[in-house]
Amino acid sequence: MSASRSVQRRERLVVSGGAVIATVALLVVYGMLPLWRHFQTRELLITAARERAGLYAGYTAGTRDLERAADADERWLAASPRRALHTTETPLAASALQTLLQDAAEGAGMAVTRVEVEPESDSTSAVRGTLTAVGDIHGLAALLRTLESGARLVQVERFAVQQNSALRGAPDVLQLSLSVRAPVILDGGTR
Amino acid sequence: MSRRWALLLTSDHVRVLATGSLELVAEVPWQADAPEAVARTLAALPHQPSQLMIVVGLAWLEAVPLTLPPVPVAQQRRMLHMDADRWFPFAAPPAVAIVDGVALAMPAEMLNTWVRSFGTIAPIDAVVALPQAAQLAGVEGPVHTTAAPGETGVMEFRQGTLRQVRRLRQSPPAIATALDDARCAAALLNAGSLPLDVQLLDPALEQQVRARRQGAWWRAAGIAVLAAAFCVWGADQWRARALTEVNAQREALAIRARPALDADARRQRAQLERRLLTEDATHRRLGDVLALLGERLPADVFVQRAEWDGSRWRLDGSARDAAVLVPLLSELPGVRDVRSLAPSTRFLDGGQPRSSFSLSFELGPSSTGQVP
Repeated sequence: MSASRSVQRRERLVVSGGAVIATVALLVVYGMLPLWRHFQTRELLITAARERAGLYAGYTAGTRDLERAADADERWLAASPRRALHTTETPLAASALQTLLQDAAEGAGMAVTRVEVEPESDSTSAVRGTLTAVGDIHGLAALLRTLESGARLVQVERFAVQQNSALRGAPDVLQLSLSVRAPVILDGGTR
Repeated sequence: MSRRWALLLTSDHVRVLATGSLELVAEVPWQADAPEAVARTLAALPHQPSQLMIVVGLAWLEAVPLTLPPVPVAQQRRMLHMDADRWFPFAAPPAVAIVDGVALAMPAEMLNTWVRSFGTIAPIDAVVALPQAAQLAGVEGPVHTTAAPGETGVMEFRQGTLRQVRRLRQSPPAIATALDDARCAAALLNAGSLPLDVQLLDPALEQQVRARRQGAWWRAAGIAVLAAAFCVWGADQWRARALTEVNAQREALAIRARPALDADARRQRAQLERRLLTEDATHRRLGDVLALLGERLPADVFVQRAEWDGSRWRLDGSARDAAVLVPLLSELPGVRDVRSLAPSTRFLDGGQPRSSFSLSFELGPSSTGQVP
């Protein structure tokens, strides 16, 4: 009788202990941990907002210096004979580069057979272009001069020139293929 | 801190002692079968208690030495309750306290009446027999106290153990000293919450007190949970307010910083462009390289194909003597790593022998530090 009661008591203890452990685990998993994460996330937001506010305060205090530095750099650029492409969006820059390549080739007396432009695939602001043209050595020299020393910043990355095999007997006719990269300054955006 | 009263119930008086004092708060005559009157009198006293402890004097108690199996007190109490008329000189269900093998009992109905009446003054925390209070007070040796009219109660303690409880119709033994009620009450009041096993209770009252205590625990736990939840809610509101405030501050500062941010964006764009222009100026122009090759290579060299892949130049063509081109190119400023990419083929062109070439070279930094 007594042993049976002892067993019953032990069983009750085990069951109630298990229930307590399960309840505590549920409370921790579904109550305390989400609450902790909720608080932690908000603390991170508060810290980030404070840091941002401090940053803005620093900018506000340095407004004059920043404007002075920006004006000085812009004056230097205004005096430069060569500038980068300025647009508000990269596709517009691609269009501008296409126009630039065609105008330069035609200005140099080269006959353009193919122009291809596309924005750079990585996150940098630049466009790439490929030009295929036919012309003589003078046109080639003029085209390279226009691209490498003209008013717009264009970097020649690859270059191949060969006698045009289709025009045997006219050795001065060259077939040119070059790849260029034009850095783009995106205007009108602030952080 | 709660204010507690100990009500010491003698045969004809109720003595009231309070925590923190050995002085009597009041001593009121009473009739055991009409406790409501004394309860009303006590309820009218100043400085009402928040809890009561009832000490039942020897006038109301029957003391019987027990010979029961060694089982828990609650079980012993149930055994006595089931067979009360065998143990005690009354047939009614008893309220029993068991102290060191001595059962102290009184009719449960009478005790319940008292508990109900005194319970109107304040909640009753404990009901004990006087020998238990004396034991708590550390009384040693034989002591005597008042009992029923014409009787004297005698108790004997040895080394903290209750040895004997008797009611005598004669004078107490000469060696017995008078029991100090105030000391017993003070010990009881200072003892805190007494376990149910040492109280003078019948099973119904024990169940009632146990339920009340458990209820108090649950209420306390509920209040604690509510308090914790309220604290968390308060902290949550506080931090939410802090976030709102700091966001508002950030937005206000962002508006004030707009001119500075615009200026900084202009400065960054201008500096980026300056850097690009500066880097571009350090590159050697392809036109210059072509001009250099045209100037230095012999007039009989015919370049059929020229290619630059961004790092190396490649020239394919023919010359009267292609073998001299490698050393010739190597001597040009900035030219290094000149390699012949294909075997040279000799052929006749207009009766003149010529040989083909396919050369590759790298243009390193020139004397001016420029690189192609």
